[in-house]
Amino acid sequence: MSFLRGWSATPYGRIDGSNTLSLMGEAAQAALASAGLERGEIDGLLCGYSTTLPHLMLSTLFAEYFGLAPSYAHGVQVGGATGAAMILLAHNLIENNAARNILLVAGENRLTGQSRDSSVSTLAQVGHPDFEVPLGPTVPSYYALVASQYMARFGVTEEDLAEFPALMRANASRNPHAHLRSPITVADVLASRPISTPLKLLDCCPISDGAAALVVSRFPQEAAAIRIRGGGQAHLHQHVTELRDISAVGADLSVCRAEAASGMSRKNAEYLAIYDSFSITLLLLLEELGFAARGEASRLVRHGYFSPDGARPLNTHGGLMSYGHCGTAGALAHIVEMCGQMSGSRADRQIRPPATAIMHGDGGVLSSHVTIFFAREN
Amino acid sequence: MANGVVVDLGYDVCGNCDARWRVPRPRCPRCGDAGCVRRQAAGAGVAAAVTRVMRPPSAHLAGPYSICLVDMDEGFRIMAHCADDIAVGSAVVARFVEFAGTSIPFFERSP
Repeated sequence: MSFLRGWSATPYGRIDGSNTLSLMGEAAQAALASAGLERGEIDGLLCGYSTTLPHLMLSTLFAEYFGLAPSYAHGVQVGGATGAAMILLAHNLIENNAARNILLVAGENRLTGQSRDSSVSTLAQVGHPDFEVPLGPTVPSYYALVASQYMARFGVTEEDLAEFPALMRANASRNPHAHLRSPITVADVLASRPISTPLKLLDCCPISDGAAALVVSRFPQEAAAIRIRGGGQAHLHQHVTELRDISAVGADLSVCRAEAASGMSRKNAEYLAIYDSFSITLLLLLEELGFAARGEASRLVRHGYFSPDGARPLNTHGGLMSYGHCGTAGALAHIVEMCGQMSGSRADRQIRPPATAIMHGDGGVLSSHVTIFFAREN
Repeated sequence: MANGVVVDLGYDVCGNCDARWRVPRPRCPRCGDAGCVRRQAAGAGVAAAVTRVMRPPSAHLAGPYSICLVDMDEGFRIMAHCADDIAVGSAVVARFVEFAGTSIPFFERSP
């Protein structure tokens, strides 16, 4: 059995004077404290990558910096799904007795460590160098092409998409550690600057500095036993040009595998931690995962179904779209929030503690999917 | 982006199962056969997705421009530029234009 024993995220946003290692170190120190563990008790280490510190051996470098001598350590790399993949790997390692206490840590100064133009242009290179990049797309363009297909196929409108940034911002407005906190309305989203149609500035997550860390362990916290029950993955394409079926991008395949591995059902998930790089990402994933019928997710948002006090609270910290996106630690912040809510330990924003939860991470352009189920066992 | 780079209408056809795909692979992604042939599409297809890029990836590129995904008659999907009046479902045909020093396909409504 594996448990989330410790968790912490830095505030996300503009953190002047920060760098990849300092941010990772800060999150890791707080996660160890949360787990009640000393450095000498950590025998496993998994790290995400950093675009501002593209080191070939970031986990070993971090171990040296932070003062660890793990018996199992390396980096993980699968785009935005990296955080989820790290958790699933740690679960498998614990279940196989490869380690007892694994520190998962990721972060970078993606906002202050490079110019915005440099970030945008670096990230745009994720497209195919011969068949996509020469045409001048950005990452928002790839997702805009997904939105274009999804809207045509399922009758979703720009107003529908706009419900999601507004909900994420409402959640973040109650979170002093979030990057973006001023409440926004659907009208504000629709009026924001077009980036790549139909996506506008407020349909996109920001670029932030930040880091997050988790401790995955054979043993839980005394206060709350948050168990990782199991997960699944799916990888059907890399490039958006090769995405063959807009109604089956890989999310359903991934969650079906996660259900089989965990013995849990998505129907019973009381908390949703779903990747929200763009409004379309969140809408499409919620519908393909089956949390709403096709074309219906926005109506559910309007009815409060995904609100903190709704039937399926979603990304209660504000998500990537408003808590912030610092790279591979983006989705780890969703799990830090999930743990806070499940353990009933949030001083503010506490909802009725969920007993079960689902996480879904997505990398590339809906290219790689990782789904994990969690359950509180005490 | 310059130096004679060309984005054409090329696609691979599997000699064994007739699968068609845009991004070159050493073997057929469906049946694994090694006998695939690269061909050039004639230029006609149907638009599957459109976006107008208002914020280009670098200051060197003059926006805005429209990027599309087109399902070609030959049975594969291509990314290219297109005219402003293209919508999902439009029947389109390609010509070639220069963009940032590269020759690229540009789709317009079929006459």
